[in-house]
Amino acid sequence: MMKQFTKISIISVIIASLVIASFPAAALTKEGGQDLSPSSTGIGIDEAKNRIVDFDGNSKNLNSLDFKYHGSIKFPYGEVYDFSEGKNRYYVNKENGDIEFAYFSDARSSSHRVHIDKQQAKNNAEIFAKEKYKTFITRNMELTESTLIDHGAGGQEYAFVWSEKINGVSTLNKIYITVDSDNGKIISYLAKERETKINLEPNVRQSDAVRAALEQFGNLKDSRTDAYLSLACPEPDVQQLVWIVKVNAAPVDGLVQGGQVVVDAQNGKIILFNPFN
Amino acid sequence: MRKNRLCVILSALLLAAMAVVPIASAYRADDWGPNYGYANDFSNDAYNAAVQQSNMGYGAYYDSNVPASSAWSNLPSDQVFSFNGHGNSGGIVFYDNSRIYANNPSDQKSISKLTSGQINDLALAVFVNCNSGSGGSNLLSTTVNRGGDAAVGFTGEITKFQADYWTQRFWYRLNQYSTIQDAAYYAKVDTLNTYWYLGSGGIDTVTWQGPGVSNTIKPARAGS
Repeated sequence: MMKQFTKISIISVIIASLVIASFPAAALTKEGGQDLSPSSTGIGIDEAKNRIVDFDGNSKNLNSLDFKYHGSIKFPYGEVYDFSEGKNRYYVNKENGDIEFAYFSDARSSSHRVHIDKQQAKNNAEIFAKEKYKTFITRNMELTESTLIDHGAGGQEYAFVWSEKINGVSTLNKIYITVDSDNGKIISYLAKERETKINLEPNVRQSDAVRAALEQFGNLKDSRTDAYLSLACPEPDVQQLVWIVKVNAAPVDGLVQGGQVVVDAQNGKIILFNPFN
Repeated sequence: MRKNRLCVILSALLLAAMAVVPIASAYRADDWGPNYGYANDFSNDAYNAAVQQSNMGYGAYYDSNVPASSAWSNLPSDQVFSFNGHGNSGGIVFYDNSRIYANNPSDQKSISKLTSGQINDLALAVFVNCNSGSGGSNLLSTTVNRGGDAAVGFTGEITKFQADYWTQRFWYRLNQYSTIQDAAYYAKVDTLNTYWYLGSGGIDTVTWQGPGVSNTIKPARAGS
């Protein structure tokens, strides 16, 4: 009897393993699946489509648009519905219905040249940000990054980041916009609005955070550091005040040295040591 | 009874291993993720890539502590080659500090020295290291020039956590039938969404080259 049970167990394990191995990974997870049920506390699929139409300012009838739903994706900052409409792509926040990502395929020029300068591109991005991110004007949004990125066969684009600053602290309210370097059109938009729920006064001084960060690397030569306070969200509904310390040092054998270190701004503990690849 | 339990456990382990490395496939994927020591262990990246490639139908092999010479000798047999670790535009570094170069006249393990046709079967090469795609004669351009269909890398400095996550999402999306360029792009979007407070860590400098970037690599196939 026991032998037979063992045989059945072995056969069951074999069958189960083969079935699992033959399915794509996404079939085993909720992510990428076809979960059509509306969020228990947030918006449903149809409402999410309406939000996309509103975002685009599209005058077309909803039913005439080529929407495809690709499931939902869970990020530490919340869950989103993933849609495509034609060649465009959108992530819609499941709780509040905000468009947190939009990609406009037709905006990407095939010429790969840099035809407009950074200032022009920034102006275009800022106009778009003010139109789509409703609290851009009322918040203290600072431009924190502006770069030209070469994606090779994917063309070139400018990337701009605006972050809300409260008492010098970067909050989670940020916008990341890319602009085609040839035609100046908006290629992509990533944005989040999250309420700041914690005290933004640090106990740890910047110099102490930098010292703790540098200790992680051992012997660096000619190191340069840049440190700023930021709100972090290590898991949903958990906020933390941190120092983000960026370290760059002299290359060794042609390899860059340094990286990022995240230091708890209340107790000085190292949260993340994140060296360069 | 103990023997029986052992038998069941061994069967499960054997099958789990098969899920990562199929016994036979006409198409080979090699994933290298050196473990250089403290906070610089890239072996999980290689493992995660191999799991997804196995699901796509490749005979996927991953390793952390091999010298450059081993990876080099396998390269002409690869349909997919991936590397996560330290490097620059001119080369990648293995656990023992040995290197494969993009273009080094004084080293035989130099991609530019491959003869025409040696890597024509290579459908995709991925270099997840700092600056792999920056400058003129870099790892990506050299790989494509010598016959690789597509190469993906970064024009900037990248940090490990974001790079690890990008790698995971890139292979996941390829396994979902994304094209190479879409997988690279949307893996970047996923990384930004996940490391929102920390920033892209250079991942937004992802770059791709080659005539095959608009192809999918599932089902498993060779380069053309």
